[in-house]
Amino acid sequence: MATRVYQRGPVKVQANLTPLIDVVFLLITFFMLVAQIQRTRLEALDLPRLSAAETSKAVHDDSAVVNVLPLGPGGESRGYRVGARTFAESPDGLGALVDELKRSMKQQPSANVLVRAERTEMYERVHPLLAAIAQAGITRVHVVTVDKDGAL
Amino acid sequence: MSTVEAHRASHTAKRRRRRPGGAIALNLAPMIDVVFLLLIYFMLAMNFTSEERAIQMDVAADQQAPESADPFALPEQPIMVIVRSTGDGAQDYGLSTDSPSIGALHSFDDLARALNAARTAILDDDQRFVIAPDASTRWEHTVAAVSAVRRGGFNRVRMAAPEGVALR
Repeated sequence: MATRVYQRGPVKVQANLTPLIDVVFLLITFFMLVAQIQRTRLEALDLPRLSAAETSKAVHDDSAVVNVLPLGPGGESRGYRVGARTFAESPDGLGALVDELKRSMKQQPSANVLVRAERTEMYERVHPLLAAIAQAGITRVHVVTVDKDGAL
Repeated sequence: MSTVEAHRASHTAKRRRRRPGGAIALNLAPMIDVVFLLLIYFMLAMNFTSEERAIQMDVAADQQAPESADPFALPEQPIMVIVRSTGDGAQDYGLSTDSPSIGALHSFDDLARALNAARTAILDDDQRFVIAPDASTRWEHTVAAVSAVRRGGFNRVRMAAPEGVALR
């Protein structure tokens, strides 16, 4: 056995990097997926367009994101969404929304509130949400926009 | 010939001997593994770049501090910016204010310019503004009015409840 080893000459030790890279990329992908799942609270909406100079980058992490869901195909209201929870566009639903916001503000008092609504949304559907946010004791919100052509 | 080369040569020779047909088989499995991983990685990374931006706005009617304020100071009135959607297009909107120091407005840029001019001459830096849309004003016009006020150099801006104040 020993003679066979010496016949081949000195042993060259090489690290096989392929499995390492495999595993590292798998871990990266896994954590990105987890983060992605956390971001499902962002509804796909056609947001108002403003030029970038007037706005700052929207920080979604550590903020309460409040979405105004667009009307359904029959014109029926689909309510508002905070995180994974949906609230009806009714006094009861808005009351529950206020409680939810109060709860999340107690957990993270420094959190921003981001308001997302379609650019064609009527103000009468957004205002109850703003009133609910004010009722939860929040004094400042960030209105989410996009930087696109056709900015007003 | 170095030892490594000799080693390789003997290795190839051995393989050639094992495969008399002369076909060199490339092991594709690890390559496919890595290529798929990279593909998924870049697809996810693309999805990640968010183009969303945000503009700040007050929501509650901000109270004036009654104790510390000068008791003889006049109550400071917010300037109301009335905004209406007049059609289906992004450019179909009407705009006016209830301030006599701001003239007729044709666009959000007009409002920003007028406010910039008034800021140095007439208005206080912490002048408050209230955006007054009606029920059918579209969100993009309401937000653009907030943006115009902020571009005009004023940061204390909020939105009022929808009401029937007519455009002037």
